[in-house]
Amino acid sequence: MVKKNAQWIMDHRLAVIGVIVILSLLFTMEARKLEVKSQLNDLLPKSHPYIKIHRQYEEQLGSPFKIFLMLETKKGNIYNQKTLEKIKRITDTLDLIPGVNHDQIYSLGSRKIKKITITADAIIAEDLMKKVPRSNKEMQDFKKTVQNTRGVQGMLVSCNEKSALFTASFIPELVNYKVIFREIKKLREKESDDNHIIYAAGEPLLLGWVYKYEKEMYLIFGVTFFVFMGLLWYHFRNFLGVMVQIPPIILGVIWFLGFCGLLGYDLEPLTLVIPILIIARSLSHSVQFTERYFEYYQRMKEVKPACVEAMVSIFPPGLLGIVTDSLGILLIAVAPIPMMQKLAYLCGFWAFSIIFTGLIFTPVIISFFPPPKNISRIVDQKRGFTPKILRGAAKMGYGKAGVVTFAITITTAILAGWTTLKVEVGDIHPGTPILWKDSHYNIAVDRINQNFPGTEELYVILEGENPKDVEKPDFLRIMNAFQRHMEKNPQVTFTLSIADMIIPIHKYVYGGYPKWQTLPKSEEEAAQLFHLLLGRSAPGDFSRYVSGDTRTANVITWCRDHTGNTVRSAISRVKDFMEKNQDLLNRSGIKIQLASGNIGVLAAMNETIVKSQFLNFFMVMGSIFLLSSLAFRSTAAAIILMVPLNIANLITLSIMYILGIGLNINTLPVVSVGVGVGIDYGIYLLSRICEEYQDSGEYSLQTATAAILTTGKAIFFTATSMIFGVIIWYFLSHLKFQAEMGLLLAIIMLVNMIGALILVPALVYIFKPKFLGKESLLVKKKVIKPDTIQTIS
Amino acid sequence: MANRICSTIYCMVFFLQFFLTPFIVHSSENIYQVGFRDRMFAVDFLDKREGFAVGDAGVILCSKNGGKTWRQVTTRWNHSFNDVFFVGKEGWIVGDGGTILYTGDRGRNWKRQESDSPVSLMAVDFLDEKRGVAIGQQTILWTEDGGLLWQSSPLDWPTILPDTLIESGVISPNFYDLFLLDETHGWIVGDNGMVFFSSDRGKRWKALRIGMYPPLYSVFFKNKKEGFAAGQRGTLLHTKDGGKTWQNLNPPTDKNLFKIKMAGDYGVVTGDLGTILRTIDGGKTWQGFPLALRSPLPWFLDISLFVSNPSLKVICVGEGTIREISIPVSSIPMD
Repeated sequence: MVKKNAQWIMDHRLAVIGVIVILSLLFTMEARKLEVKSQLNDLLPKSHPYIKIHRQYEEQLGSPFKIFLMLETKKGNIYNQKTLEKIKRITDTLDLIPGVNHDQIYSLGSRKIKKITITADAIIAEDLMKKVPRSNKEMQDFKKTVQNTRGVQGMLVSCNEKSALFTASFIPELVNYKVIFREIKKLREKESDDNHIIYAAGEPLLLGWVYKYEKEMYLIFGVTFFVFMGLLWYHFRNFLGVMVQIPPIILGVIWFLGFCGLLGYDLEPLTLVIPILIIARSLSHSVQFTERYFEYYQRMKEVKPACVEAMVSIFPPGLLGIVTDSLGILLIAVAPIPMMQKLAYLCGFWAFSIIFTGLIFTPVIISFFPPPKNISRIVDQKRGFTPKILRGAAKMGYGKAGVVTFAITITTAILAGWTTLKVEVGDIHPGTPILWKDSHYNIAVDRINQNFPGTEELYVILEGENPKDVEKPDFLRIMNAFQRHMEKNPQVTFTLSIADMIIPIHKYVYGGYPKWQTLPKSEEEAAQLFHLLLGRSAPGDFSRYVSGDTRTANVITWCRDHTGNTVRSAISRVKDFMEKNQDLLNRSGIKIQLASGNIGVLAAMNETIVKSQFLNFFMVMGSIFLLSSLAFRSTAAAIILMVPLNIANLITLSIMYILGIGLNINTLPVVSVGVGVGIDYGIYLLSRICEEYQDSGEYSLQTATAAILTTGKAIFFTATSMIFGVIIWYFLSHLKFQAEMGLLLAIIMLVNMIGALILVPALVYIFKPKFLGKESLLVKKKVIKPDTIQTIS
Repeated sequence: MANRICSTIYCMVFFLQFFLTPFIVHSSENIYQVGFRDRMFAVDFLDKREGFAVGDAGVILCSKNGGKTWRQVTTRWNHSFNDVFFVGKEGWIVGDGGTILYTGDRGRNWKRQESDSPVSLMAVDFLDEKRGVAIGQQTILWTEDGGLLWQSSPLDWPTILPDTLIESGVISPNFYDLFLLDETHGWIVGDNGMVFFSSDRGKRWKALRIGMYPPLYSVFFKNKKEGFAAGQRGTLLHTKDGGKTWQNLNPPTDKNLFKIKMAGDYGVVTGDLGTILRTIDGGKTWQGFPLALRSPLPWFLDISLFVSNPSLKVICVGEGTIREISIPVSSIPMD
């Protein structure tokens, strides 16, 4: 049946080319719509309860994706006219950046920061820095006010009074990272001088940095491509061998980009490593075909029949490999994070399209060209360095050596599995794992964190049943107790709520005697204080802390950093309070809702990632098991294929631990796509082993060596060229993330290659499964015996 | 062999660590770190080593080492506690909502006494185990049986308040501090520069001073005649006639002054924004005592004094802090 189809394709090769070319043209049209950009909201797992709360309160509390600027003075402190003028100017400039949320700009000079003055009969909330103080006395008064306003000293002005902080939120739908990055760069250049340094951090700027390196990424892509070409030339030493690998790659990219445009998705700049993985698969299939074609041509000396025969051999295992692969990638979509789902659909489609661009197109193209003259040299298995390695590999997978290999594998698996347990979910270091530690961005994060506790925010919302519930003394008392509870956690630096603002007013109403610096005792008193506080302020001034109808209040908890560990510990601290005070909370009608702020959003992302990592892994393994059991008509075959994959996966995770890479929204897709990268190696080799076994009727070292020297050679070649290709990223990329992923992918491919070349034969030798002799979809019935065994002496 | 011994020891240490961990954690958890959220309102020592500090949100702390470390005493109440006072092994804490807590065993167990008053009690003082006074807002309570029964002293505000105050809208000024010298001499201070005097252990009170004055937050008498009162914006008053007439000592500060305490010729005044004044000549002259403090500068609300030459040991409680300050009594440090 396979042969009939192959023959049909060869007979209608012009039509096949026509269809594929027309499709590619259509996809090219679509690809023009494409944009490379990130949607921050795409990072949020929409179905997670925290995110639902976050979305519900987003308008009131602002986006968790903020930028932070810190103005630092080298000499003296910020209390001089020049610096304060700068602060005012920077605040105004921030307000002009397109997409900024005008109600969410905080700094010493922002109109959102109020000075509360208490006179004999009124409380006045006015802008902290209405105008820049000029005279010495004004400056001293201003300094005193700053020192005594809760939430300013230590939050907007550092404790050593040498730095001032600015934060600005952006409206996610209106954000353009390139513009923000450009504006902030301009601002930094304009306001920095001999005595002032400006540090800038925050998610939108981070993406700005990523875009800055976008061009560099294309350059590395180019370098990678030429390295491939060079290696292909080294391998085939002929024009056809090299040339024929290019169209599948280019067509694949075009189809992928066209599909992106068709669905209206944007390309995430950070996930651009993943295409390398898919190109690797594409290359694997076309090289397998080319190798096999040369082999048959050597025997048959006719182009078209050799093509048909090679297709018959390659098509079934290739199809199985592609289908399992694309299914595995598609299963990344189990993570309910839009960014990952988009990625899954796009890359799943790309991987699937290799059937057309690789499996069908390559033979058709080859059939048009005269065979190269050096085929006998390529098929010759004695010449060169590669066959020596491969023979060595074959020996390691057979006999006693095979048993030893197996034992080593088991030990490695256990060790790696044990290390895997330590892999951190979330970030491991305080800065961003995307950039290097000495990057400007990470230095800024570091400096800001040293001076201010307030960049990592967890919002916990306390919901009352009715409007004005927040104004009840019980509500305030519970909120205060909750804050105390949170502050006992060493990962928490500080908490702030509306209760903290009510307390000082209570004191001032009574003339400033500290024993009145407590929460109000009666409802009348509390209502009066709320009226004093909120009544004199502009609408939205306190929206970060309390809703307009005072039904819900927000407690802001500042954490030391946003590492996975800190995020988990802060969240579990909240849950701990809820559990311990369940009765009290029920009685008072207060519902504690998690969570918003960047820490709340991160918690949701991390929790989702843990869940989907497991789900994804088991579903991928399940589908591989199912499909390969069906194809080989044997569960043993499926298990033999899955062993190297699992070991590669364990080793990948343990290497992540060793390199200090956490499992996060950026690394998870790479790891998930990487899981299946070796499956086609295994399938090709196993089906070749079956073929050789059925030829010779027994499983001997010869059988194994024959399979490894032919199919194994193609595997070895594709894997090594891919390893060279991705390792370039490690040395060239300015983005730490890309560099690390390059290294990681190189290791994944190395382990998978070793697994396919050594472990699969070893497992076959040890278990001698029955399916070797079975007729199945995957094993071609013999027509012509390629004359390979004779060349082995 | 040596190897084996080493690994045995290692194993033992390893398991011992697990065995001991609960105890180690337990003892360190017991030490209370006073944080910025703790507003400590009062402190009193039973002797040189054992003392109590109380504050907002039901915080009661106890020290057994002269104030070096504190541990929390947990009670059922989370009121704000405004004052604490000990006579021997008996002690009282007063707080908001008319709360009065009593201990008869050096603060190990506390139980509530009925005050029949909803006001925030600000200060409490006792002459001995039985006779004491508690004040707060516009209320004065006295007891002659250690607090089993608290009775309120009659106060007729319309006759007490001078016309000038009534005209400016003052209805009922608050009391802030109380000082009982002996059975026939007791003083209370409060808003509008109030000084009240009682000669019958707090049952009846007479206004000595009230008018358009800044509030007084603390009062201290060296003897029946000579006393001091501290108040808003650097008010530091001195009397030599038992409180009838007062002279401002014009101390070198304009901050609110919240507490005055003296021991012999030495004395300390604490106040807002880290203010500390001291005297070594019985209160004739006062000097500022500079402290290296981080902003936001805390207020200091209460002190305990320990005289030990050549310096005065002061346990100071306030906003987010309990600290021990050593004030030299020989030379004068100036800022």
